[in-house]
Amino acid sequence: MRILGVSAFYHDSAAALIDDGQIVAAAQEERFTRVKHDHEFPKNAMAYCLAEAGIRADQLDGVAFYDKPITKFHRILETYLSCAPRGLRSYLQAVPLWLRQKLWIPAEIEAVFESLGVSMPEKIYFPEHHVSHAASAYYPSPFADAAVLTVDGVGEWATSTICDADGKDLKVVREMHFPHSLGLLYSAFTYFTGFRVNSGEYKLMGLAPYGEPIYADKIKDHVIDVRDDGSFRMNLDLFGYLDGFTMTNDNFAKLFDGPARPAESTITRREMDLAKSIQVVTEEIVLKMARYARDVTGKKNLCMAGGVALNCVANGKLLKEKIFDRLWIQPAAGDAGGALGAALAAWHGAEQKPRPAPANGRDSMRGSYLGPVFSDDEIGAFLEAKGYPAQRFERDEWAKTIAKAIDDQKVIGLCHGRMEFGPRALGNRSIIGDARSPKMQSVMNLKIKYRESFRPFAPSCLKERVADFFEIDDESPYMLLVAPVREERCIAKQGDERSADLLEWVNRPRSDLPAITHVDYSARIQTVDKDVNPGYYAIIEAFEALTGQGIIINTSFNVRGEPIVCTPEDAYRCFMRTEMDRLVLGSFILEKEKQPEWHEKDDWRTEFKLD
Amino acid sequence: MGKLKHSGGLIGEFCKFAMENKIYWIVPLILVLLFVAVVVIAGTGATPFIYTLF
Repeated sequence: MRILGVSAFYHDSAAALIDDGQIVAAAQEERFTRVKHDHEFPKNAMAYCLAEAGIRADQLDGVAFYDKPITKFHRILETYLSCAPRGLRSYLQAVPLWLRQKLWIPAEIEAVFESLGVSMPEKIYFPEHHVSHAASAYYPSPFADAAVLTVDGVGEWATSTICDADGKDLKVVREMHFPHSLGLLYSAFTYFTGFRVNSGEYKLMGLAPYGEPIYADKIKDHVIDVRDDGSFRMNLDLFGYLDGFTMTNDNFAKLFDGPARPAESTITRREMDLAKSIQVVTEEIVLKMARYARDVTGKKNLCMAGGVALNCVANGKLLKEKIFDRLWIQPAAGDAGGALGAALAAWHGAEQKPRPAPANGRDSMRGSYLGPVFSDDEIGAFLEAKGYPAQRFERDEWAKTIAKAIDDQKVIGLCHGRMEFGPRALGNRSIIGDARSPKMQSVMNLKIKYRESFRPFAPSCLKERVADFFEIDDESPYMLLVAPVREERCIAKQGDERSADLLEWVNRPRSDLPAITHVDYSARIQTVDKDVNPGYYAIIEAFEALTGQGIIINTSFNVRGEPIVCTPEDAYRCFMRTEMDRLVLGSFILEKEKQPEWHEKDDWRTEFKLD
Repeated sequence: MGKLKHSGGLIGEFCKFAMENKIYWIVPLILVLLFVAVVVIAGTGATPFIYTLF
């Protein structure tokens, strides 16, 4: 039985296909339309999933949408009623969208199927939003049973849930409801510190290590009332999202020493301290929720999903606390992963199909490499048609050549194998470089990514070597855990760093791996498994043979505001627009200096809306 | 046309939802709200909200 999961209309629309419970394909719509966080119905991702499975649309048995639109609409109406007459303008903008689009999911699905010349499947499933998240976290996990914690902005009414999962059964045992939401609280601070909601949350997390948690007590005293079980109530007098167009209001600004930082303006000490404070509070709440989840389920393993599960600093703390024996986080923890979860919830939940016990302690996400792949024949034809000079290599020589380029301080765009599903590039659509270089962080931030300088890069290391570099003895295949760099690798702080200029501060070496060591001596780790991604592993292994260090920088293959590249054409365009030195397309390696001159009609930097 | 075909199903779903959750007030409310929304804003371009809750 083939079920297509779909998430759409909020942010990060996506589609995922499962066949008898096995994950076949999954991709975000943004990768095809080139619109970051695209919220439109994922026609392209749906078509890709069908093509990847080699089936026609009429061979599908069901479509699963990742939430219940009617329940969500009820929540919206009830919210407006509770605020009325305030919120009228907001209502007048929101309701037409619902009338035109969001309530008509079967019609949207049918339109896609009609465009493919077939009728849609009879079965359409609507699992709840948080059930979709929980299903995406539990069913692909390596555990036979687990507690599941989902934390995000809001679904229908739920904003956080605790589930008890065993075999095919997944049962919600506790829920926290809107408007009280850890995801929305974090997004409120994201907005207030000048970053974009639903996009800039990870920037706030990256800014936190620069600050001190001086507002943490104020948050706990005046903004939220946290209970021992991790649930909390928010002081709604401080927020604008119930009846307005902004997350926070004037009362919030008064409490936190002035108005919200305008986007793109200078980041001040206040924003750093706010970032640190909300991060500390978030970690405290997540730990309390996890302890409570352990108590109410009695399970030894924890699975997590929902946007807050992408907070890898909180995840690292959770792992360190050892509340659970093992932790697994869905790599597409945000709404995109809801597409996969909806399909799995339909299969194991509505259809009551059994879940085989996970084999060899491995998850079934296939490294999250679930997107499109381009063969060497396709890439060769593309290069030839465009007249782009390239050299083709056999696997061993390919890895050695790339490793040598990294050692030569080249910045390399890597586009090979299947594209990753989820927000992280995990070595198949990545930009890589030398983690030992003191200049690489600055070079890659300003000349390649064109983004704020304060954000750190993440390392990819051989799975077997992770404990050589970091204070962690677990694997982190999806770059969702943060851990300290080993003490013996670190350089002691020099004086009061908080007085330094931000750019100078970030570029100050802190370890013998300066490009990936954040100002708090931490790193967001990806461990690379030879069996899961042999190509990427071979590159890092070759780099280790050359330099003695089995670790490199890995950042997503895009510029600021651009979705991660999908096709060889996307990759070549990004390569030529930036100061990257080498481009790897499958088995081909391209050198920048040998490429024809690159011309564009318009300034490409205006093409992408800054995130 | 596609929406017209599915409108019966949608209204039925709403009624079912109201019955199951015992929130009968939602049926006339929805009719009024939909009417207001259609009359007041029909034809105006509304931009998507940036926050998930809407």
